[in-house]
Amino acid sequence: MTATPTSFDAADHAAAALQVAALCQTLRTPGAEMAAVVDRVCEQAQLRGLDDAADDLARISKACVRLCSLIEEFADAPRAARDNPEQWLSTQDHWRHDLRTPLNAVKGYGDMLIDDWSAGPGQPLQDDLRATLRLADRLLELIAATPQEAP
Amino acid sequence: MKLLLVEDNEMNRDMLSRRLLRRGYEIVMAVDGGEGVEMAGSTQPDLILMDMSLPVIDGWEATRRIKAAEATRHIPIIGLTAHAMAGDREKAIEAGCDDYDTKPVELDRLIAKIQALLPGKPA
Repeated sequence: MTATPTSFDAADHAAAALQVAALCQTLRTPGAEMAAVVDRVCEQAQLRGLDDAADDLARISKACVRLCSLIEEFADAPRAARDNPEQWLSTQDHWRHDLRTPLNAVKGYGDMLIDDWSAGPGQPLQDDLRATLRLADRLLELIAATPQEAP
Repeated sequence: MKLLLVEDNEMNRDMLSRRLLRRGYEIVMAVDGGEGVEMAGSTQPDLILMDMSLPVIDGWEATRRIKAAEATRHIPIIGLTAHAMAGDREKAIEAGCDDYDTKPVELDRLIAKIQALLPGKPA
Protein backbone atom coordinates (compact mmCIF):
# COMPACT_ATOMS: atom_id res chain seq x y z
CA MET A 1 0.00 0.00 0.00
CA THR A 2 1.33 3.45 -0.81
CA ALA A 3 1.63 6.22 1.76
CA THR A 4 -1.29 8.48 2.49
CA PRO A 5 -1.09 11.44 0.13
CA THR A 6 -0.07 14.72 1.68
CA SER A 7 -1.41 16.77 -1.18
CA PHE A 8 -4.25 16.20 -3.54
CA ASP A 9 -4.03 18.48 -6.52
CA ALA A 10 -6.23 18.83 -9.57
CA ALA A 11 -4.44 16.04 -11.42
CA ASP A 12 -4.84 13.68 -8.46
CA HIS A 13 -8.48 14.58 -8.26
CA ALA A 14 -9.05 13.94 -11.96
CA ALA A 15 -7.29 10.56 -11.71
CA ALA A 16 -9.35 9.58 -8.64
CA ALA A 17 -12.56 10.67 -10.29
CA LEU A 18 -11.82 8.58 -13.38
CA GLN A 19 -10.82 5.55 -11.32
CA VAL A 20 -13.90 5.72 -9.13
CA ALA A 21 -16.23 6.40 -12.04
CA ALA A 22 -14.93 3.30 -13.84
CA LEU A 23 -15.23 1.19 -10.71
CA CYS A 24 -18.76 2.37 -9.93
CA GLN A 25 -19.79 1.65 -13.48
CA THR A 26 -18.35 -1.88 -13.17
CA LEU A 27 -20.27 -2.47 -9.95
CA ARG A 28 -23.54 -0.91 -11.08
CA THR A 29 -24.33 -3.58 -13.66
CA PRO A 30 -24.13 -6.67 -11.43
CA GLY A 31 -25.66 -4.67 -8.58
CA ALA A 32 -28.69 -3.65 -10.62
CA GLU A 33 -28.97 -7.13 -12.10
CA MET A 34 -28.95 -8.67 -8.65
CA ALA A 35 -31.66 -6.25 -7.45
CA ALA A 36 -33.79 -7.13 -10.51
CA VAL A 37 -33.47 -10.87 -9.93
CA VAL A 38 -34.39 -10.42 -6.28
CA ASP A 39 -37.47 -8.38 -7.26
CA ARG A 40 -38.50 -11.23 -9.55
CA VAL A 41 -38.05 -13.79 -6.78
CA CYS A 42 -40.12 -11.65 -4.39
CA GLU A 43 -42.90 -11.34 -6.93
CA GLN A 44 -42.90 -15.04 -7.74
CA ALA A 45 -42.79 -16.00 -4.06
CA GLN A 46 -45.83 -13.86 -3.41
CA LEU A 47 -47.70 -15.40 -6.35
CA ARG A 48 -46.87 -18.89 -5.05
CA GLY A 49 -48.05 -18.05 -1.56
CA LEU A 50 -44.62 -18.49 0.04
CA ASP A 51 -45.56 -16.23 2.93
CA ASP A 52 -43.07 -17.79 5.33
CA ALA A 53 -40.26 -16.44 3.17
CA ALA A 54 -41.63 -12.89 2.95
CA ASP A 55 -39.54 -11.46 5.80
CA ASP A 56 -36.28 -12.98 4.59
CA LEU A 57 -36.94 -11.87 1.01
CA ALA A 58 -37.66 -8.36 2.27
CA ARG A 59 -34.28 -8.39 4.05
CA ILE A 60 -32.50 -9.51 0.85
CA SER A 61 -34.31 -6.81 -1.09
CA LYS A 62 -33.39 -4.17 1.50
CA ALA A 63 -29.74 -5.27 1.33
CA CYS A 64 -29.77 -4.90 -2.47
CA VAL A 65 -31.16 -1.38 -2.20
CA ARG A 66 -28.48 -0.50 0.36
CA LEU A 67 -25.77 -1.91 -1.88
CA CYS A 68 -26.90 0.14 -4.90
CA SER A 69 -27.11 3.24 -2.73
CA LEU A 70 -23.54 2.72 -1.44
CA ILE A 71 -22.22 2.40 -4.98
CA GLU A 72 -23.71 5.80 -5.80
CA GLU A 73 -22.36 7.30 -2.57
CA PHE A 74 -18.85 6.20 -3.50
CA ALA A 75 -19.17 7.89 -6.87
CA ASP A 76 -19.03 11.15 -4.90
CA ALA A 77 -15.90 10.16 -2.96
CA PRO A 78 -13.33 11.98 -5.15
CA ARG A 79 -15.10 15.28 -4.46
CA ALA A 80 -14.67 14.71 -0.73
CA ALA A 81 -11.06 13.63 -1.25
CA ARG A 82 -10.30 16.95 -2.96
CA ASP A 83 -11.13 18.71 0.31
CA ASN A 84 -9.68 16.11 2.66
CA PRO A 85 -7.02 13.96 0.97
CA GLU A 86 -5.92 12.28 4.20
CA GLN A 87 -9.28 10.57 4.34
CA TRP A 88 -8.95 8.98 0.92
CA LEU A 89 -7.48 5.65 2.01
CA SER A 90 -9.84 5.24 4.94
CA THR A 91 -12.76 6.16 2.70
CA GLN A 92 -11.86 3.31 0.38
CA ASP A 93 -11.34 0.93 3.27
CA HIS A 94 -14.66 1.80 4.90
CA TRP A 95 -16.47 1.67 1.62
CA ARG A 96 -15.13 -1.82 0.96
CA HIS A 97 -16.29 -2.86 4.45
CA ASP A 98 -19.70 -1.25 4.01
CA LEU A 99 -20.31 -2.97 0.68
CA ARG A 100 -19.50 -6.38 2.09
CA THR A 101 -22.09 -6.02 4.84
CA PRO A 102 -25.23 -6.11 2.63
CA LEU A 103 -23.62 -8.79 0.48
CA ASN A 104 -23.18 -10.85 3.62
CA ALA A 105 -26.93 -10.56 4.23
CA VAL A 106 -27.83 -11.42 0.62
CA LYS A 107 -25.65 -14.52 0.67
CA GLY A 108 -26.73 -15.69 4.12
CA TYR A 109 -30.47 -15.30 3.66
CA GLY A 110 -30.21 -16.59 0.09
CA ASP A 111 -28.48 -19.76 1.27
CA MET A 112 -31.18 -20.31 3.89
CA LEU A 113 -33.99 -19.92 1.36
CA ILE A 114 -32.31 -22.30 -1.07
CA ASP A 115 -32.29 -24.87 1.73
CA ASP A 116 -35.92 -24.11 2.59
CA TRP A 117 -36.98 -24.42 -1.03
CA SER A 118 -35.29 -27.72 -1.77
CA ALA A 119 -38.81 -29.13 -2.17
CA GLY A 120 -42.33 -27.73 -2.48
CA PRO A 121 -43.68 -24.62 -4.22
CA GLY A 122 -40.47 -22.66 -3.75
CA GLN A 123 -38.32 -25.14 -5.63
CA PRO A 124 -38.71 -23.43 -9.05
CA LEU A 125 -37.30 -20.23 -7.54
CA GLN A 126 -34.04 -21.84 -6.52
CA ASP A 127 -32.38 -21.09 -9.86
CA ASP A 128 -33.06 -17.37 -9.51
CA LEU A 129 -31.73 -17.42 -5.96
CA ARG A 130 -28.59 -19.21 -7.12
CA ALA A 131 -28.18 -16.53 -9.81
CA THR A 132 -28.46 -13.92 -7.04
CA LEU A 133 -25.69 -15.61 -5.07
CA ARG A 134 -23.47 -15.82 -8.17
CA LEU A 135 -23.93 -12.07 -8.71
CA ALA A 136 -23.11 -11.43 -5.06
CA ASP A 137 -19.92 -13.48 -5.49
CA ARG A 138 -19.06 -11.50 -8.62
CA LEU A 139 -19.51 -8.22 -6.72
CA LEU A 140 -17.29 -9.48 -3.92
CA GLU A 141 -14.59 -10.34 -6.44
CA LEU A 142 -14.81 -6.87 -7.96
CA ILE A 143 -14.65 -5.21 -4.54
CA ALA A 144 -11.66 -7.32 -3.54
CA ALA A 145 -9.91 -6.32 -6.77
CA THR A 146 -10.39 -2.60 -6.05
CA PRO A 147 -7.02 -0.87 -5.98
CA GLN A 148 -6.09 0.07 -2.43
CA GLU A 149 -3.50 2.68 -3.37
CA ALA A 150 -4.14 6.35 -3.14
CA PRO A 151 -4.81 7.92 -6.54
CA MET B 1 -22.76 -26.30 22.32
CA LYS B 2 -23.40 -22.71 23.34
CA LEU B 3 -22.04 -19.91 21.17
CA LEU B 4 -22.03 -16.21 22.01
CA LEU B 5 -22.50 -14.14 18.86
CA VAL B 6 -21.40 -10.52 19.27
CA GLU B 7 -22.68 -8.59 16.25
CA ASP B 8 -24.18 -5.12 15.96
CA ASN B 9 -25.79 -5.45 12.52
CA GLU B 10 -29.34 -6.69 13.05
CA MET B 11 -29.59 -8.50 9.74
CA ASN B 12 -26.27 -10.26 10.10
CA ARG B 13 -27.07 -11.20 13.69
CA ASP B 14 -30.46 -12.64 12.75
CA MET B 15 -29.13 -14.46 9.70
CA LEU B 16 -26.03 -16.01 11.26
CA SER B 17 -27.80 -17.00 14.49
CA ARG B 18 -30.58 -18.75 12.55
CA ARG B 19 -28.13 -20.59 10.34
CA LEU B 20 -26.19 -21.79 13.37
CA LEU B 21 -29.39 -22.76 15.19
CA ARG B 22 -30.28 -24.93 12.21
CA ARG B 23 -26.96 -26.70 12.63
CA GLY B 24 -27.80 -27.51 16.23
CA TYR B 25 -25.92 -24.80 18.14
CA GLU B 26 -27.40 -22.90 21.07
CA ILE B 27 -26.96 -19.18 20.48
CA VAL B 28 -26.81 -16.25 22.87
CA MET B 29 -26.32 -12.77 21.43
CA ALA B 30 -24.81 -9.42 22.28
CA VAL B 31 -25.17 -6.27 20.20
CA ASP B 32 -21.98 -4.39 21.13
CA GLY B 33 -18.55 -5.02 22.59
CA GLY B 34 -19.50 -3.98 26.11
CA GLU B 35 -22.43 -6.34 26.21
CA GLY B 36 -20.22 -9.03 24.67
CA VAL B 37 -17.71 -8.76 27.53
CA GLU B 38 -20.51 -8.84 30.10
CA MET B 39 -22.26 -11.83 28.52
CA ALA B 40 -19.05 -13.78 28.11
CA GLY B 41 -18.87 -13.80 31.91
CA SER B 42 -22.55 -14.25 32.67
CA THR B 43 -23.40 -16.92 30.09
CA GLN B 44 -20.06 -18.78 29.93
CA PRO B 45 -20.37 -19.83 26.29
CA ASP B 46 -18.26 -22.61 24.81
CA LEU B 47 -17.03 -20.24 22.12
CA ILE B 48 -17.44 -16.60 21.07
CA LEU B 49 -17.98 -15.29 17.54
CA MET B 50 -16.81 -11.69 17.73
CA ASP B 51 -17.49 -9.09 15.09
CA MET B 52 -14.56 -6.67 15.21
CA SER B 53 -16.29 -3.46 14.09
CA LEU B 54 -18.58 -2.87 17.04
CA PRO B 55 -20.00 0.14 18.87
CA VAL B 56 -19.29 1.02 22.54
CA ILE B 57 -16.17 -1.17 22.69
CA ASP B 58 -14.77 -2.54 19.43
CA GLY B 59 -14.13 -6.25 18.94
CA TRP B 60 -10.38 -5.98 19.47
CA GLU B 61 -10.78 -4.30 22.86
CA ALA B 62 -13.63 -6.63 23.87
CA THR B 63 -11.42 -9.60 23.00
CA ARG B 64 -8.55 -8.18 25.07
CA ARG B 65 -10.86 -7.73 28.08
CA ILE B 66 -12.34 -11.23 27.79
CA LYS B 67 -8.86 -12.77 27.53
CA ALA B 68 -7.63 -10.67 30.46
CA ALA B 69 -10.37 -11.84 32.83
CA GLU B 70 -9.77 -15.00 34.85
CA ALA B 71 -13.38 -16.16 34.40
CA THR B 72 -13.43 -15.89 30.60
CA ARG B 73 -9.87 -16.23 29.30
CA HIS B 74 -10.36 -19.93 28.53
CA ILE B 75 -13.20 -19.26 26.06
CA PRO B 76 -12.05 -19.53 22.45
CA ILE B 77 -12.83 -16.50 20.28
CA ILE B 78 -13.21 -16.38 16.52
CA GLY B 79 -12.94 -12.84 15.17
CA LEU B 80 -15.30 -11.94 12.33
CA THR B 81 -14.96 -8.94 10.11
CA ALA B 82 -16.13 -7.65 6.77
CA HIS B 83 -12.66 -6.17 6.35
CA ALA B 84 -10.47 -8.49 4.35
CA MET B 85 -7.33 -6.43 4.42
CA ALA B 86 -3.78 -7.62 4.79
CA GLY B 87 -2.92 -7.54 8.48
CA ASP B 88 -6.48 -7.95 9.77
CA ARG B 89 -5.87 -11.56 10.75
CA GLU B 90 -2.67 -10.67 12.62
CA LYS B 91 -4.42 -7.77 14.36
CA ALA B 92 -7.20 -10.10 15.55
CA ILE B 93 -4.75 -12.76 16.76
CA GLU B 94 -2.69 -10.10 18.57
CA ALA B 95 -5.83 -8.96 20.39
CA GLY B 96 -6.32 -12.53 21.62
CA CYS B 97 -8.58 -14.15 19.02
CA ASP B 98 -7.91 -17.86 18.63
CA ASP B 99 -8.93 -17.74 14.97
CA TYR B 100 -10.30 -15.31 12.45
CA ASP B 101 -12.79 -15.44 9.58
CA THR B 102 -14.05 -12.95 7.04
CA LYS B 103 -17.54 -11.97 6.02
CA PRO B 104 -19.50 -12.92 4.01
CA VAL B 105 -19.55 -15.98 6.22
CA GLU B 106 -19.15 -19.31 4.48
CA LEU B 107 -21.03 -21.40 7.02
CA ASP B 108 -19.22 -24.70 6.44
CA ARG B 109 -15.85 -22.95 6.72
CA LEU B 110 -16.89 -21.22 9.95
CA ILE B 111 -18.21 -24.45 11.45
CA ALA B 112 -14.95 -26.20 10.58
CA LYS B 113 -13.12 -23.49 12.55
CA ILE B 114 -15.52 -23.85 15.49
CA GLN B 115 -15.03 -27.61 15.52
CA ALA B 116 -11.25 -27.23 15.28
CA LEU B 117 -11.27 -25.10 18.44
CA LEU B 118 -13.62 -27.45 20.28
CA PRO B 119 -12.58 -30.91 19.14
CA GLY B 120 -14.85 -33.73 20.16
CA LYS B 121 -17.61 -31.41 21.25
CA PRO B 122 -20.81 -32.02 19.24
CA ALA B 123 -23.03 -29.10 18.18
